[in-house]
Amino acid sequence: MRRRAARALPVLLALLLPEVTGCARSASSSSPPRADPVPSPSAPLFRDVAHSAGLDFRWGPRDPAGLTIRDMMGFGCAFLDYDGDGKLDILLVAKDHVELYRNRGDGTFENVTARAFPNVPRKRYLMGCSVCDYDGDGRPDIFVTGYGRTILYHNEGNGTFKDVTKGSGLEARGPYDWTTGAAWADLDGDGRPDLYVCRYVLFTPSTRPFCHFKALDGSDLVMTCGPAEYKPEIGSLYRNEGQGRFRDITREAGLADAHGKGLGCRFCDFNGDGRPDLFIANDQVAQDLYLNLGGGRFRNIAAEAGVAFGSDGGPLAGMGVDWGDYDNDGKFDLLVASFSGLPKALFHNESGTLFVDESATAGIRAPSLTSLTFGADFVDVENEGLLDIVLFNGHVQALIEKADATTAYYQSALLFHNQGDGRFRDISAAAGPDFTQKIVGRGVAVGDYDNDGREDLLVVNAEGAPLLLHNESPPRHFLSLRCFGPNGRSDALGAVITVQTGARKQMRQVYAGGSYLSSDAPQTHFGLGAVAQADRVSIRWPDGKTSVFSSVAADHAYSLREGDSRLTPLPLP
Amino acid sequence: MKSASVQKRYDLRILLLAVPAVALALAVRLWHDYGAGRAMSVSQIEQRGRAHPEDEEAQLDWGNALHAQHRDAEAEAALKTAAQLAPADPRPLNALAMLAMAHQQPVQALAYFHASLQLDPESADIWRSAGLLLQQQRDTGSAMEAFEQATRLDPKDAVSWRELGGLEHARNAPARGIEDLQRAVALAPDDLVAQDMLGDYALADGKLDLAGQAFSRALALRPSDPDALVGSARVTLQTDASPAGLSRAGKQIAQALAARPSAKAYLARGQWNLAERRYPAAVADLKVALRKDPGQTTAHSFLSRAYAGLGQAQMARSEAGAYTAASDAARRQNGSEPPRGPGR
Repeated sequence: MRRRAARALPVLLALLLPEVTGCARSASSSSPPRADPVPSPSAPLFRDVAHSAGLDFRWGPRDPAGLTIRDMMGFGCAFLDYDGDGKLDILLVAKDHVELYRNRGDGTFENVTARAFPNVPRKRYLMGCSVCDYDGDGRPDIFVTGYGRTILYHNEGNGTFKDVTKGSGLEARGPYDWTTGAAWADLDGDGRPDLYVCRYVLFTPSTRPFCHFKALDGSDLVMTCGPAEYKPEIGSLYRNEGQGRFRDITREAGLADAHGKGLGCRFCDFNGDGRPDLFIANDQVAQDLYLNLGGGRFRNIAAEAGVAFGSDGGPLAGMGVDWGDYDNDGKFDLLVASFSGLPKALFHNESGTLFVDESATAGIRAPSLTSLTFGADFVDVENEGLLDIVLFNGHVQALIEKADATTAYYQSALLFHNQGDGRFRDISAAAGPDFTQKIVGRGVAVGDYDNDGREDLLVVNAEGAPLLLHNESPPRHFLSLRCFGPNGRSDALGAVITVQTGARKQMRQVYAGGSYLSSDAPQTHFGLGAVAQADRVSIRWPDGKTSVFSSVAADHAYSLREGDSRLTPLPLP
Repeated sequence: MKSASVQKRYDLRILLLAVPAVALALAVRLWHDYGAGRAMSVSQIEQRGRAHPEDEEAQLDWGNALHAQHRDAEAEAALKTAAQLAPADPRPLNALAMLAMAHQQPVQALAYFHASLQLDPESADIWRSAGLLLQQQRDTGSAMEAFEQATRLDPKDAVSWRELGGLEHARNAPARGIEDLQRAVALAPDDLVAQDMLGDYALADGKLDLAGQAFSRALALRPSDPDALVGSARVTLQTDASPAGLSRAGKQIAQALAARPSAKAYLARGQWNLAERRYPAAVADLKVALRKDPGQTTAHSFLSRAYAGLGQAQMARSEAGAYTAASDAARRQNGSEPPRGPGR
């Protein structure tokens, strides 16, 4: 019998007496359903090449005992081209340092951490990263979040990074300041990217790190407490003042009423007014959606936009977040990861100001319900012109199996294939055993590291090695664009690109940041399916100007600066 | 929050159904187990009781018989006499405890249970009854102890497994609670309350298959069971949002409302109307749900979404705030409680 031995009667008797005295829609889509449904391919869609590519770093395994909430939230990763050679390099955030891998261009990476970060002392606790050229010098810089520590690494242009945090205004506010996700956007149109940084909870030596649970065998199980145990902390919006200085404008910008416990954040102009808005994914409290009113002011419209809560009426345990126009109707929709047992939200953008959670209609709710999702992204895995959904999962309790036999610490990822009619199909099995291997999934970054025209995935496994999931889907046509602002060096954050092929219009935005604690590649990627050229490519630049190009040949990566009259194809590998 | 509201519903059901049922069953069992089951008529028992005031068995039988006839004042006197005649016998004390329970006198009942258990700590029936009483008094920890004792002594005690499961689910062991409920329905597949509880708790934990199965079994037992109809509809809303699925869910909710227009049923219809994007109807239903049971906090968040759908921003914000405030209040109220579940 699994029950513990009954306690001595007097114990209960002592308890007994004194205690009693007190006594339908299918998503509207302007694009046609996919004409050529892709059969489940016999070959896996993804293969994990991390080991053969030379990614030799590991986050774990760790001793499961004694892991606090600070240890369980995991880490982030990034695709970035730090040396400007046109090949995506890889950044991994470790507990006390970052690891940088340079892309050799032959499918392998060289660990250049020591060279790129010379004489950097190892110091805990780091968590996430967000990559952006904050000073407009054309080189991607790195902001690193963490517990009691943040770092702004300036890319010096000689293969090294310099810690320029001190005096930047982005320093951690104290030893217990816990920052998590971060995202960049030029909020005031001054050409300088501003930064939003999420904060999670107040976790100090005086808060209790562990809670008592009852194991299935009845024994006492001591594990990390959940976020409900801790007070929320509110994130900050930092205005880029230039000269490497940032100023906290949270209050004056109207973001001080956030609910806190933020883990993920992304900017997106979801209402098409040309101003980047901000979604903050909060853990087990109401979500926040800030509408950019212009003039440096925001208003939290999560409630009236219908995204404050999950479809079951409770709060989401918001973690990873992504924006994407999954039904190609010209409006950005919102994907929010959540805890196991809670629905993952797929908020369909109805009108630019109203969202409806379509996760059930879309068919992702039930299959993902038991997963505990951190990294969540829209990705057109098979270059079909439709955004699929990838979810990377792993429980927060290393010993969860002792308390719940129906779940596990290590969990499989999920891939939902966009059917083109507003519905998704779980094709995780077709993604292959490397994709579905059981990991403690956390951050994920998206980028085509080998420039083969298919988007790959870099995944954090908090108890093991990173996954570099090489996309091996059947070749289809694609377009990749890198859009720069007028200076020709900095990414045109906030630019919206629309690619039209026949009746289908796909829309993407240029952004800096990513799903959970991570940062995606700077390129925007479009799958074109069987179509060898885009009829029309239009770019709405952050300043409102537009560029339009016709009959753009597929299967190229293009570079474009605002004001250019032609798209410049980049050399293929 | 969700689990707490589910628990509250079942507390009420337990109060209405379980306590009297168990009390009656226990009284009958005590009567039979301890000698009163001899083939005697009530009048014979009464005659014997009057004729033998010094005979404990006679007084005990008489007291139980009187209790069965709702002559409780006389029953109490007879049982007290029996208890005085045989201070080492737990039976009169148990019977007195049952009498006190029937009279909604929990303090007195527990005092008798306390004394009885000192004499006979191996009685699963008494532990279970004590557990029900403690649960009714919201002394969750002690109630769980009592049910655990009951299940240890009698592993086939389906009621104790059921109640223990409900309590564990609401506290710090949701998965274990579900396991206990599964054990309860395996032992007593005809227990409608247990099937509904299993369905609701599994649904709250996102275990939709398990929830669907439990509600199906409940509906097989009683096709018009409003709780199972609502639960089944809520599972459908998550698993099959197709027009056919929504239609099926809508019919089940309508049936449930016809059978019992409860807050829970109105809440479900509000949720269903939201799924159908019938926002005015959703608002109307959710308001009724809240009127019937202000503790239905999720009605606030659904209302917020409904008002959002109607473009009433201020109302959407107000209801979102009401939901957050209610959640915070519940959290403060449960401040000393263990966490709901790992990671929560």
